Formats: sequence, structure tokens, C-alpha cells
Amino acid sequence: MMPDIAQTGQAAGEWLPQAEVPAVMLDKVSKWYGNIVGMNDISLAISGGVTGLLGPNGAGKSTLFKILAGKLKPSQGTVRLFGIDPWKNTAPFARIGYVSENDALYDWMTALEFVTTLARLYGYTRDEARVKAERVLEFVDLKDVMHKEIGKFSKGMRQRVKIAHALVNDPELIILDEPLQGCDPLARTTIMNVIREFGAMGRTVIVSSHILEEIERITEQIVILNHGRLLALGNVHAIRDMLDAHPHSIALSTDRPRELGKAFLDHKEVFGVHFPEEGKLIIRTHNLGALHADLPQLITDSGFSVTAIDNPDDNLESILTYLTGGGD
Amino acid sequence: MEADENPNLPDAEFLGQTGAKVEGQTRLDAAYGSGDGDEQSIPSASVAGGTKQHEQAYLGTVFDQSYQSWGGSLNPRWARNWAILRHHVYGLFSKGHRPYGMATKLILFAAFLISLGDLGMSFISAVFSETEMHRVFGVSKDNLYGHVLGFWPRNAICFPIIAALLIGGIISEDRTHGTSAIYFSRPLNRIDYTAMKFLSVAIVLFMLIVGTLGIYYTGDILMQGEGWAFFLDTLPIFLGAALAGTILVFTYSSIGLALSSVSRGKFFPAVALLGIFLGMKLIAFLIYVLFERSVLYLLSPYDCVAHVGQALVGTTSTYDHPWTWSLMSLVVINAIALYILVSRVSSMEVTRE
Amino acid sequence: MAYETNNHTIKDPTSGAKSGEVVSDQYVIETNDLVKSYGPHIALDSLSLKVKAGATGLLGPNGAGKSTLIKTLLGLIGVTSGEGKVLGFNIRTEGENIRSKIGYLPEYECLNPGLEAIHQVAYSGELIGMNPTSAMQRAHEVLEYVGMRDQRYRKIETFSTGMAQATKLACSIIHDPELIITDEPSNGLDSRAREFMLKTLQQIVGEGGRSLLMASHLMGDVEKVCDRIVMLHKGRLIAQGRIEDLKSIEQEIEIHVWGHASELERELQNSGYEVRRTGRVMRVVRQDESTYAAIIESAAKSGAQLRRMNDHEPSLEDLFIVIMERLGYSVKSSVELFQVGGSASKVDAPFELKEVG
Repeated sequence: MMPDIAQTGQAAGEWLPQAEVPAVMLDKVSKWYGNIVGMNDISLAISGGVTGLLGPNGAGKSTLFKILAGKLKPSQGTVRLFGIDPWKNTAPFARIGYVSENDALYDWMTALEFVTTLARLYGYTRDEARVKAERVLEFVDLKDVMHKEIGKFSKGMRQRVKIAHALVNDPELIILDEPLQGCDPLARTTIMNVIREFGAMGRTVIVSSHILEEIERITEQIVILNHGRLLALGNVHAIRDMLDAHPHSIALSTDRPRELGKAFLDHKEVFGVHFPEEGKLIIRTHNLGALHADLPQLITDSGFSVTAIDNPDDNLESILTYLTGGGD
Repeated sequence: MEADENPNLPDAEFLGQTGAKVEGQTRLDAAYGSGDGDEQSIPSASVAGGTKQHEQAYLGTVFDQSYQSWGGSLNPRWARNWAILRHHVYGLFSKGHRPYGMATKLILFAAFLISLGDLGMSFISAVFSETEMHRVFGVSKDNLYGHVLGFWPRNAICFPIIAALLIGGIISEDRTHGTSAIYFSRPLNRIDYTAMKFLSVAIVLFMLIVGTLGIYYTGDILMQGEGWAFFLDTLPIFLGAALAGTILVFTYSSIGLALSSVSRGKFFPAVALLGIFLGMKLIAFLIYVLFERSVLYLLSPYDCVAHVGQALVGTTSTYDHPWTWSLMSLVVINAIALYILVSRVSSMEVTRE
Repeated sequence: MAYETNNHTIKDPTSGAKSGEVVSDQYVIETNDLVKSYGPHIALDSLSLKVKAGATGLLGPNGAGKSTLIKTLLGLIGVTSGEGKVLGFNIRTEGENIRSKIGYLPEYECLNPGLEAIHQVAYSGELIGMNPTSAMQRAHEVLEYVGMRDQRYRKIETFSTGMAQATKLACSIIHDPELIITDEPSNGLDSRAREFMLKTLQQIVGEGGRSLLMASHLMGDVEKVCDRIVMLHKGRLIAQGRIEDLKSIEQEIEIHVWGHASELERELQNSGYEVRRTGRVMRVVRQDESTYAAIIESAAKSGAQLRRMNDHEPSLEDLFIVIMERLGYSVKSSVELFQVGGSASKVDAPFELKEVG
């Protein structure tokens, strides 16, 4: 299984990484902690665009992130970042930005010192590092407080320091483990914008979050893990289509549900309609795409008015529920 | 209730205006999905096999909660304080209260038995009617003093170790676990909190040090069949020793809690307590041996208590300086410890440490 | 920053009332010109809050003073000036009464990992002054209520984040408080645990008739549970009231399109509809009832799939951002990150905090 989650970025700059070398490639990677399996035989390639990494607590997301960030060596299998084995050559890390889930920062440093110091590790000169650090800190709205010690920061501010440090080297691959935790809506929206835009430029962003709405707003490309295994990857809707055991439904709000329901019963993809409440019609189908392709025409032909259309179970939450049991 | 309001009072206000136009542009900008909506082909995806078995794991939650109110009344301050005290002391004996390690409980039990060693010797001498032996182990000034403060392994090692085990996490754990939020978001004041933590340690140490002294004293008198006259003669000495023991308990507790309140772990306060008691004693002893100056003993809490104890019991002093100096030093040491304790506890947060 | 914070011109409807009792009937929390400063740093700046019974969200960007406000309301820290009442008790002098009547769910861990859940909860009840038997009885009741029936006798150190959070909630409602103050209740929970937590809070307010003050950064959560908000920024009150009243109803229809979106957009624009689009999401200004049919018809013509169509309702998040934008902040895009930097020689920052005049 070597699926390709290549996504074409529209606004790709000229520095766009060469498409033939995926930013991240895992081939049959496993990681055991003693007898406990952290990751089990995972193969995937991610290149360009934003990929959401989902799974309940303890699904192996953190293990995967740590392997990508070079903090853990896989027990088995090969890892390639930009085509290079990160355990033999540390060059890829200069092109990677990483926000880890844990809150390990040097509390005694000011935000500016911290980000500058880390920028210098990427090989910038002192002045360059400082300019870059100031810019990213300003970007995450920490300019006012960048001379304060990190120890005095609130959780949301610490989170933004981590994001600043991940962006300081202008990375091509950005790995974000729960980047939005504790951030206020403004910072949240800004960070989500940046993630989307980085993806659109053709950079590779891998992001995890417990808040599914956030992932939905960032990307449709997802990877679902549970118990260290890869459960699904690809486009959200495509994944949903593959879950045959759970038929799709389309919910319509209309003034004449019964009459409209009759019109739909003739369609070959429809296998049932029902009327949960006044003014509501639910159509059940196994082939959402095919039905949706004909839906506007069918409604127009029927002549009834429809004021809302929804796919109540074509979303991340239902996919995750169907695949993993929804949580721990 | 709504109708009673001034109709002019806006129910919503922000920036001094009512009703804002919220367009939700930002939501649109960052809206669902990264696709551009123009795709001509269905995107690809793959789903690992065996999804069916994963479904089985999902049993669903039926939300059948119903909130039940509670109409009971709340007890006043003493009950809350009693709860803290009980939580810490009962933890040594039963489950469901502050958890102590098995090692702590065993060592405490062992120390209790060891502390009854002199009673045992007195018992043996009574059984075999060994008057010579009884002269060595029976109730006397030196033995009563020695039970509490004599510098031999039991007092020098057992008692400090027990103190160290007890105070180790007593306040620092509230910092590490964040349980201070549980305490201080409730109607407790910090002085009570500190006092109850202090008392809980002091009570256990008191039972160990002064309690066993009492058992030894009464046990010996009963076993030897001494009369009332002996009892009345020795009672002041016993009380002196008991008071000295109480001072020792107080000093252990106040220094120990102060150390616990400045740290986050349980290891540091325990080691620091042993260091202060035994280390200062050792340094003072070396200085005494080398330079024949006993003044440095004033810095050793253990020696200060011992010196005061000698004065209270009435045995010969082993120090060159007057005992009142030691008493003064003791007052200063305890005052500093309590000051640190109280100020550190008052800075404990309910929100974020 | 120069803007009016409050409606001082309007007479307080309760000013004619005789006693604090009446006030507490209407407002669970009421503060008047509350100021708290730490040296030169002003954490709360003449804050006049009126929080009614029911569920209220406490919003504000990081560092807005929410934690300080909570500590002040619990009567834990002294105020520099001003007055405040919680459930009719003065926050300056009656902190102990307040803390007996409210339940507080802290943001960070606050449980002893070595204890079993049942004992931790019972102990937290005893600390309020419940007697041990009723605390134990009630501990069973509330643990069951928060969905921890089977984990009651498990040690807290074995708990997942969701279970620990539920236990914390049980601790805070053991004495059936009139007001519950929660600080980021769904932080770190996965989707299922989060859902449960929110439903529980909702139920405590709805069925239980208790009041809730919920500090959160997750606007979706606040919207699910609360019907009112209080929003702070730099220690000032910048918005308060019913969420519905703060948002004006927007006449837009949101559609999610799959395939041929550009054709659909053109089609709609040609028919005279105003369309905003980002990716597959479009908003069409609703002219009248026929707009829906027009959208569907256009979709049929252009071959686009309408995966979703509904009246767009602005979210609380939009409201938050609108308010912050009025204060001179803005949502940024990565362009700003690159403009200044990169190889371009632009010197001054493209974005600055502006004062609102």
C-alpha cells in the first residue's frame, strides 16, 4: 500500500520542493516500546499540502510525530525526509519546523532570546537570527511581551512561542502536534490561515488536533491512526464513501417532504427515504457522489422548494466514530 | 424577570454599541476544506482493511444522566479543618485517605517498636528480677532524657528519617499535583490549611517520640511495682522530658514543612531535613573537637533541643554555653521556618503554578 | 484606547432595590468598577460586570485577565478598588461564603494521583464542610453523574485526560453549588470526551438549574453550552450580553460545492446574485425565498454537486474576531510573515496594533 497524497498547490513558489521526492515517506515503519506497540507497519508518503493526523488519545500520533521530528528511531522500516534518512544525515531538519505537544521551553529565557537562540542553530548569523525571531514573534502577536521571560507566559502565549520557533527557519515541512491548544480564536484563526496558505504554496504541513472542526477547516486530506495502525488516509469524503457499512444520508429541508421523497424513490442510488420530523426529508444511499450529481436536477424538476441540504454523516466526526469507536 | 428591567437597558452591549454586524468573513476564509471545489475527479483515499471489527468497539453512550440536587447543610470551619487533619493522619492506617508509601508505613511501625526497646529491657529485668539491669534500663533522669534526645542511633536516625518521610511531600505534593487548587477554591483559609498539615505531622511524631516515652514511663513503673512516692518524685522529670520531646517534634515539623513548602518534590525536603539535622550536628561536633568551641552547636537544631532538654530534665549539660542561648536559637530557627512556611503557602495559586 | 466600555448613562435597574438579596436574585455575579493592579500592571481595569443566572461564557484573548477575574470572584485575591458581589456575597470580605456556594473546575490538573476517584471526590466535599458520610454518599452520586460509575475505585494515576476532567467536575459539583466556574473545561479532551463534558455542563445548567461561568478559547464549546458571554481584553470589559443579540442575523446562504464550483459561481453571478467564495465554500446573499431554488437550478446547470446548503449563521468565533478587529487586531495571513522577511527589503512591519480612535 503506497498511497499518494499528492496535492497540487496553486500558488506554488519557485522554491517548491521537487514533486518526485516526497517530503515525508515512511515505508513499513514500526515502533515498539518494549512489548508495547507504538506504531505498527505504517507506510505513507506525504508531499505538499496540508494533512490532518487524527486518532483518539493514545493512537500513536505522538509516536509518529516524534519519528518524523527525528526524536525517535523506528524499530523497523525506513523513514525518508526529502528523500534523506534523517538518522544518517541531519540536513532535512534545517527544512523542518516542529511544534511538539509537550510544553518544554526554557522558562528563564525571554521569548526573543529563545527564538533567536533556536534560529542560530539553523545557521543564521546573530543579526539574521534576531531579525527573523522578531518577525515571527511579531507575527504571532507576541511583540509586546517578547522581552519577558517565557516562565511568566500563559498557556496560549507559550503555544505561540512554540509556533514562532517552528516558523523561524522558513520551513518546507511543518509538523504541528496540537498547535492550537490554549490559543484564543484570533490566534487560532491566524494559525489556521497560515497552515492553509503554507499548504497552498506547496509546502507540506502535517497537523493534529482533537478539535475536529479545526481539521475540517484546514484540510480534507487526513490520516487516521488507532492503536498504532493506519486506519485510513486520503480525502475525507472519499474515505467516507468507502465505508460501505454505513450508508450515506442526505438531509433536505423542504415544505413537502413526502412528495419530494416520492420523486427520489425512483432514483437508482436511493434505497430509502424517511421523515424524521416536520419539514425534513432524509434520503439514504450507498453512492453519495452519484446521487449528489443528480440532486440539483431532481429537485429542480420536482418543483418543490428546498431550503437546506446537508450530509449529516459525511464529516470527520462520523468517520472517526465509525473507524475508531470515537475516542477512548 | 425580564419585564422588570428598564426597557432601555440593552441586553447586549459591546464597545458601547448594541447589535453588531458579524459577517463571518474570517470563518469563510478559513472555511471547511482545502479543496477548491473545481475538482473533476473523485479524490483518492484508502481505508485499511478490517474496518468492520473496529465498529464493534463503538458501543455508544446513552445519555441517561439526571442532575440531582443536594440539600444538606455545610459544617463550619472546625469540620473542614478536621477533614484535612484526618485525611493526613488516617492515611497511615487505612485506605481512602492521603496515600503513604508502604515503606513509610513499615518504617514507622518499625520505629515504633524500636522506640519501645527500653520498655522491653525494663520488662526483661522485671521478669528476671535483675536489679542491676534495672538500674541501667529503669526510669531515671538519664533514661527519660535519653529516650527523647539521647544521641544514639534510634534518636539520631529513626526519628529524623520518620520526620523526613512524613514531611517529604506534605506541602510540595499540593504544588506538584495542583491539589492546592482543590484546597484553596474551597472555604479554607491558608493559616488553617498550614496549621492542619503541621498538626498532622506533629501528631504522628508526637505519638512516636513522646507517646512511647509515656508508655515506657508508665510501663516501667507498673512492672517494677513502684509506689506513688516514686511516681510523684519522677513525674516532674517525666514532664520535663515530655516537654523536651514536644519541642523536638515542633522543631522537626516546622523545619520539615518549611522545606516541603519551598520545593516541588518529596525527595528534596526529606534529604534537606536530614542534612540540616545531622549535617549541622556533625559540623558543630567537628568544630568542637578541633577547636573546643561549642558555640556552633547553636546552629544545630538538634543540639539546641538537646541542650534545652537537658535543662528541663535536669541532667548535666554537655555544652559549655548557657542553655538559654540554645533556647533563643531554637526560637529563632523555628520562627524563620514558620515564616518561610506561611509565606510560601500564601503564594500558592489556584490557577497556575 | 478610547472607547466607551459601558452603559453608564443607563440607570442600573436594580439601584432602587433595598437589599443585596434582590441583586443576587437577578445577577449571580455583579462587579462595579473593579480594579486589580499588580504594581504598574493593571490586570482588571474598572470592570463592571453583570452576569445573570444561566450559562455565561467568559471570553478574551490570552492574557485578557480571565484568570485574575476568576481569582477575584473566588475572593482569593484582594482588589485594588471597586466592589463586587458573587451570589450576593461581597468579594472583598465574604470569600469563604462565596467559596462554599460555588464550584470551581480548575484548568490544570488538581487531583492526587495516588487516591481513588471516589475518595478524592469525597475529600473535596469534606473540605467544603460536608460531613464524611454525606460526602461519600454524594461522591458516588456525582461520579455516576459524570459517567465515572465504573471507574470510581480506580486510582486517578491510571486515568485518561477525559476521565480526570470528569473527576474534577465531580469534585466541583459535589456540594450542588449554585454557580460553577470552569476554566477551559474541554482542554486536551478528545472528541468523545469533549462532547460528554459539554453535554454534562449543559445539563447541569438546563435541568439542574445551576449557573455556569465558563472560560474557554473554544468558541464552538461556548456556543453549545452558553447563551450569554462576557468578553474581556486587557482587563477591560469589551462585550457582554446574549450571544444572539450580539450577532445580527446575516442574510446569507452558505453552500459547499463539489466539482464545477467556478462554473456555479459564474452562473450565480450572471443571474445577479452576490457570491463570496473561498475554495469549495460559497456564500450567496439571500434575496428572497427564490434564492434557494435559483442556487439549486444553477447547480443543476453547471453540474456542480451541492454537498451542503444552509442559512449561514455567524458563529461566536466570527463575533470574537469582529470585536478584536475593532480593537485593532486582525487575523493575519502568511503573506505578512514573508513580506517583511524573505529577500525583500521592506523595513517596517506590515501590521501594527492600531489604537481605535
